Amino acid sequence: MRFIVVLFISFFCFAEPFIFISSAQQHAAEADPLSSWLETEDFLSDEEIDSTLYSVYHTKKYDLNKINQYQLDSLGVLSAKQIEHFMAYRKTFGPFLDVYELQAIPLWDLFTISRIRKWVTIVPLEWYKLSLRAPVAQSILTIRWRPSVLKQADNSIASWRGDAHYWRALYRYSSSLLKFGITAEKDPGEYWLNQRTKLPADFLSAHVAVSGKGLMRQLIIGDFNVNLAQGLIQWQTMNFRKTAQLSLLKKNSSIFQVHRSVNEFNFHRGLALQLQVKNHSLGLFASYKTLSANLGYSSASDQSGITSFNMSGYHRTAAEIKSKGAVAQIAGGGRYNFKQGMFTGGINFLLYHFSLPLIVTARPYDQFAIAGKKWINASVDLGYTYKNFHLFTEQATDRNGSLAGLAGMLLSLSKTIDVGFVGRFYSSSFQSLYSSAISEGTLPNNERGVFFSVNANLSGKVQVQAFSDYFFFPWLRYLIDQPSGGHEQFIQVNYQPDKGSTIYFRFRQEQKMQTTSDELAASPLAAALLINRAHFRMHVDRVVSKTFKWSLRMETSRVKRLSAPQSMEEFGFLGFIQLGFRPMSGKLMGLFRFLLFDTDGYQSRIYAFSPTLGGGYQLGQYKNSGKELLLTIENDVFRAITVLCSATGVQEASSRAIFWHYSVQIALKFHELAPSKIYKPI
Amino acid sequence: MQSVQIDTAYPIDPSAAIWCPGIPIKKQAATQFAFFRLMGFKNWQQLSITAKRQFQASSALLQVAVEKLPTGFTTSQVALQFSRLLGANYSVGVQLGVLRRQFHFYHPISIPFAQVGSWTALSPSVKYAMSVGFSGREVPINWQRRQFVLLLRSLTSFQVTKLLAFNLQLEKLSTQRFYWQVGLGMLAGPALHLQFSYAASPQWWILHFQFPLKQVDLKISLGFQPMLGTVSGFNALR
Repeated sequence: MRFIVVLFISFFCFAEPFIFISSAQQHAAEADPLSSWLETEDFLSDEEIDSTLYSVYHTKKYDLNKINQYQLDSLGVLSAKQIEHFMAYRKTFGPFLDVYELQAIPLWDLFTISRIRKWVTIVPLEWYKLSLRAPVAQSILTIRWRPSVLKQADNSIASWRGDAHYWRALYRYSSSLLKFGITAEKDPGEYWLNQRTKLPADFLSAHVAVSGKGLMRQLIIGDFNVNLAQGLIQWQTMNFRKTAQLSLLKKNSSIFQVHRSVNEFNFHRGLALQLQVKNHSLGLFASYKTLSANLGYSSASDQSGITSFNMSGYHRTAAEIKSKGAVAQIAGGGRYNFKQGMFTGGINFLLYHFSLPLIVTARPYDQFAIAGKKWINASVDLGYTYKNFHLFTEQATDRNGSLAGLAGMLLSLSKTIDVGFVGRFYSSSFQSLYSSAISEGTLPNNERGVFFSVNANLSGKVQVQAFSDYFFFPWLRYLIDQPSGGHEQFIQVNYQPDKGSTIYFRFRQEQKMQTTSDELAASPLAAALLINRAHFRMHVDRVVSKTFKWSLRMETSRVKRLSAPQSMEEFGFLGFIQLGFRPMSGKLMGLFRFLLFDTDGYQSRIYAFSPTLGGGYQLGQYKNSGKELLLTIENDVFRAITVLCSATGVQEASSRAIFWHYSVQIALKFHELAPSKIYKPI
Repeated sequence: MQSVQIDTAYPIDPSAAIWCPGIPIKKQAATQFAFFRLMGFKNWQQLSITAKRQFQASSALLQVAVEKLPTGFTTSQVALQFSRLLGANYSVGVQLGVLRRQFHFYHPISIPFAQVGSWTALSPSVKYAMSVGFSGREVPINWQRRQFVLLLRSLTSFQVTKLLAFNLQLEKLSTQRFYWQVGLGMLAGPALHLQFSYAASPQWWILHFQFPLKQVDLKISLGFQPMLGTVSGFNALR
């Protein structure tokens, strides 16, 4: 071990004097299936992905003896068959005595167990006996602060009204009956005081949630997320629009979840209630909140109103501050769900009322956009399991009577091969808010497509996951003034010889029609041209010992415009080597990463996650060329206090100049009432 | 920095260890002599001598290489490398060296380089090695630029069957495009090993015929590079 340390010290003494110090939480090179899948998605902003993941990763660990099939499914790494075998095993043999007992469950291989291991635990039965109603409770205050960057290439910083500090405070109380939380956040560039409410944060969120086992299953007051069926009319938590992971293909989530993230747009504020009587379940909610929106006048409809929503959550510039709280939204809705044997069915509805009308522009692609002060969506969903088949569908409509629907099938061909199929038909005029379903576009409208996926467990060590998707947009889209289409293929081969080692190869290719805003500015009738994008990735994780692990990734991208005469071709590369260490004392954990990226431009950009403080991830978008050095350190100073520091040095080398970015983050966490071994920090 | 070349992922070949410090060499003591030339491009020659000695779990390796293009430049390189086995499945190594390039009608340039590498057996059939390195930049682009080049290299070897192995090499130099090459190794008989390697950009292919003799492993190579022509050479490992 000392030899390794000497080697690296000697190497970095010679290397460029990067500045790095820092922080964090995450056990070094733990392979994370969700973050790995998320890296294949295009997201709107770093904040969105950070927030989304934060809400997922900061939930408590589930007790294997209490977890139900829906919670198992929500982890997103298990197939229906594996869940079925889990429930049957626990029913037959009684409570689990040890996590290692999972190996005895049919279809639960080492690969599966290693992926699920971080989310499950076994709470000793004594914990339940010690306390009558709240056997385990947790109370945590987390404060994160990031000073302003010393130097930034982005010139827009000059228009910020506030300073560039970032600040966030989270308080969470959690027991089996009650959950309570407060979130406060100030983004870089925002004022420390909310200019409208005079409260000490630009964004404030709170929730109280009560869980029950009788008629009332859940009551939430405050901020919450609503997920309905397959997401055609509403889905506010993390979602994979397309994934080769079959267990994630069909959405399965509880209808209401407290809003834990710092996403400032995608949630409801009010009251949510879930009731259940035997096989019947009813969820109802009512919400009122103000939205950040841009107001304007449309000559097409000769009306003033909302031209667009500011979904980023940033209120830094004069225009963004002006947009904050410009519109009030009243929303209500619910879901009735029925289960009988292998059959499930549900009815979902949503009503919206805005204080100002939404207006459509004269742009052709905007023709079917939502207009007016009111909006309605409704849908019906069904699910049926027969032997190895599971069929599911959702059919939705909106206020104008436009239709959207999807239907899918999950099939276990054998113990080792599962396949999935989803067909979708979203009419051009169908519109919805806060929705996210399987689709190529961001929202489920103006699209037809078929999606086919297969997961094969070739042996205990080799898994193959693949999908193919063909899609067509019958109406115009943003930046595409014609009907268009395309297809996408994906394959990933995982090799896991033992629980400490993983190597996978991933290839993804997409071909679709596209134009650019520059081309459309030059000619409004610019034809969309076929663009081919291909990504290849190799990733290796290796646990060397209890104190040391490493991983390496190499990823390339190639973007090529297939149609002559405006030929374009870009290449990109991203590679990193990551070392994680945890000395035997166990109080100190660290992560070191050196990342090198080199792309020809924006089109060939590559995404990769960076671990952030407190166990979260932040999606980084890497374009042009440069290198990044990251060192994170987490130290449990006392039992109740954890100090996390991180620093990242990024050098971007453009053709003319070099920019350096520095950032330092410090976080303090106070936890009490429950040992951290049982519950992860919220 | 060493230029990108073909055929580097074979653990029995000391030159593989040069590409990625830490790759173990089975022989306790080995000396290799290698000579290559371009048949269709006269006067290009490459010569290298590599010596490896192992003392328990630690190894030392020295390589001296000369590449000569009489009408252009002469490059010589000295690399010294130390590696250590950490158990049966791990090995790490560090390499330090200097490359000296003499251009005609121009003063010589000396470029230091260093590399840290690691090798691991993920399983009996899958071996993996990686390295991170840096070197001085041969020609500064402009005064704003840092004068060094970074390297990230990955070598993966899959033993498909007892007789067939597949290799994948991925490599990125900060000043060059991403490079990849694949290789197939086959035991054609007790006294004949075949190795074939291919890279797409820059396009290369090379075929080795290896004849293990009593004292010496003799390897005869034949390759092709579209821009330069046919490469031939041999190396002897004892």
